[in-house]
Amino acid sequence: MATTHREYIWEIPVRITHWINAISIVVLSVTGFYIGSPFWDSPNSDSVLPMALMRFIHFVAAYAFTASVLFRIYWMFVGNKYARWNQFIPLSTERIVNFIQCALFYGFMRKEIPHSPGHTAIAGVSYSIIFLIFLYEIASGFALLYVANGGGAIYNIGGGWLLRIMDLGTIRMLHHVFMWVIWIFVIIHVYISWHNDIIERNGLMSSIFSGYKFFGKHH
Amino acid sequence: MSEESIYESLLRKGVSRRDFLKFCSTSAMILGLSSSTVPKIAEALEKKERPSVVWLHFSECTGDSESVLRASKPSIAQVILDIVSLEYHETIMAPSGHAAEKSLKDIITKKKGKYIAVYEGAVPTADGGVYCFIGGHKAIDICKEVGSGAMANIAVGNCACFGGIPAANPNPTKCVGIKDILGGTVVNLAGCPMNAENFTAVVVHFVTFGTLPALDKHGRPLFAYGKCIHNNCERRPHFDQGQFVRQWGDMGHRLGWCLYEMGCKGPMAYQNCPTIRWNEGTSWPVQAGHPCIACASPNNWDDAYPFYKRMEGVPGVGWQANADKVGLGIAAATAAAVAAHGIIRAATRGKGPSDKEEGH
Amino acid sequence: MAKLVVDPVTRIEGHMRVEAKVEGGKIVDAWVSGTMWRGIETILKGRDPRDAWLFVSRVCGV
Repeated sequence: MATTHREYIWEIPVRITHWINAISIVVLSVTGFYIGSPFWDSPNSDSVLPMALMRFIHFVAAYAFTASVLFRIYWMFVGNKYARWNQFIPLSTERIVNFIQCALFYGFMRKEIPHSPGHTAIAGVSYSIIFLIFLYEIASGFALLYVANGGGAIYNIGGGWLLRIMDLGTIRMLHHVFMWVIWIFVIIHVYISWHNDIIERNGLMSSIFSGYKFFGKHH
Repeated sequence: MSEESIYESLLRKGVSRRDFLKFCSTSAMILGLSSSTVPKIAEALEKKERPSVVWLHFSECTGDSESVLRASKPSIAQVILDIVSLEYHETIMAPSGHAAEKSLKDIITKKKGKYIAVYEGAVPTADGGVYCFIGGHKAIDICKEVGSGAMANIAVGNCACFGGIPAANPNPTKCVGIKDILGGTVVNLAGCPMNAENFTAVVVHFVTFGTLPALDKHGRPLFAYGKCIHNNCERRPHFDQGQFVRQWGDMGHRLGWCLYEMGCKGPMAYQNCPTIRWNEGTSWPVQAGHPCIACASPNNWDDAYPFYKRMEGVPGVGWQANADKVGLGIAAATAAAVAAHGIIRAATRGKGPSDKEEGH
Repeated sequence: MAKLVVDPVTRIEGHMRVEAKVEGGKIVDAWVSGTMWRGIETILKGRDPRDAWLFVSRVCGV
């Protein structure tokens, strides 16, 4: 008799936005890195326009990323309990306890990982921080486009206000620096997901494709 | 002194009618006005008196005066001195000492509300403003006194507009631009130095229409500072094509490739350098093979800095590091830490919680 | 004994003040001061050496 059951954790919008984010982050990083430091000396041909192409792809991916991030933020208020905003900002005692227990577990000071069918509290907080960084990347990107195009209503709304708070050199530098922060997050995120999948044996890695996690009879 | 009209004074200096009309057309072009305004400009310069101009120097290097004075042939730059009546200019005026001070005093009292005040150089404000004294008066006091009675205030050069180089970190004399002292409308002809042709155009506009041209949010005239240099640069096709100079003197440099990788700040600079260029259309920094340093932007000495690098450095890490080196270093450290964690976890893992559930 | 002050000295770059003590039609003592300071040396400290010339050329625009 099977004593495991599966539970639907990650809704379709959560998974779709996750993968749009993941793919666009890779595309944005590669093209963005080229835009900041062109690493490829183009062949001597008038029909190959690498910088123009990289910028075009970067902007298309940026718009996809923007839509995905904004939609996910909206979904934090209308999605199921595992997608809600309170999973990312630990306000209840239960979440704060979960946060501490997770930290102790990752620090080899606790034997068992605390049970959290959705995100652990640490994961939630890390995603909040990374979403703030995503929003900065979006705003600074629009600010840079605003300067490059000498105006534009969408760019102004998206990031024109940032130019009044910070100088342009700093905006550009942080836009670049935060790419590295996102990659550090990606390294930790992929590792922890892999690590937790092995520890919890609940199909965690598959869940971001299927939406389902599997739990034993105690749940 | 300035009873004869601008046209009459030009004729007296030997400028032909043909050159005069060419000048009117060029002014219209620089101002971004249609050719139908040329007769209006010509008429204004024919009929109107030369406006009195008082040119003050504060914490400056005189580069903007030199920009105006540099003329290898009778040209727009030289004509400036003929279309205005320059009543006070410390670099070229004959009187000095008390006579010079009297000259200034006379103009600002007798022609109160009827002179144009041009300012070159920033105003130091640290320690009560003692870092610039002229004739025993502080620059800040002179600025306020002359500025209050002028019919138009024009700041020339980055120093007068935004504080410029003396205001660069750490700004030891707490220099500020003229607009920060006077408030109100101040035309900021930014640049280091400013382009004399833009200055002439502003004066022509004022004489013709009686108003100052439209200004952007930094007070710079839109006709000269409205377009991004990167979008009008003649090397832009090389940028789009990925052809970059990598080292001074390399093949790309000799072929005139894009200076993006050498730190060109064209993407954040706004001025008409690529179109009207310098020294009467001779050249401009990028054409000559040197990256743009965004000399007309506020705080460019800190913002567009380092000039030979794409991006400013990460604070606290010194000028040799940059975001990529720091980022790569931290990412590598993270990967190593994560690998170590994984190894420790694999080595110390006992039976996991779900192993106890082996009920099936 | 008279004191002579010439400030501003014109037809130069920058700001200069000359004070002189005149006795019997002759100048017996004189002081010359530059009456403006920007601190470009201070501003240069800590910057990339390759950028130095761009700052230093702005010491004088002539």
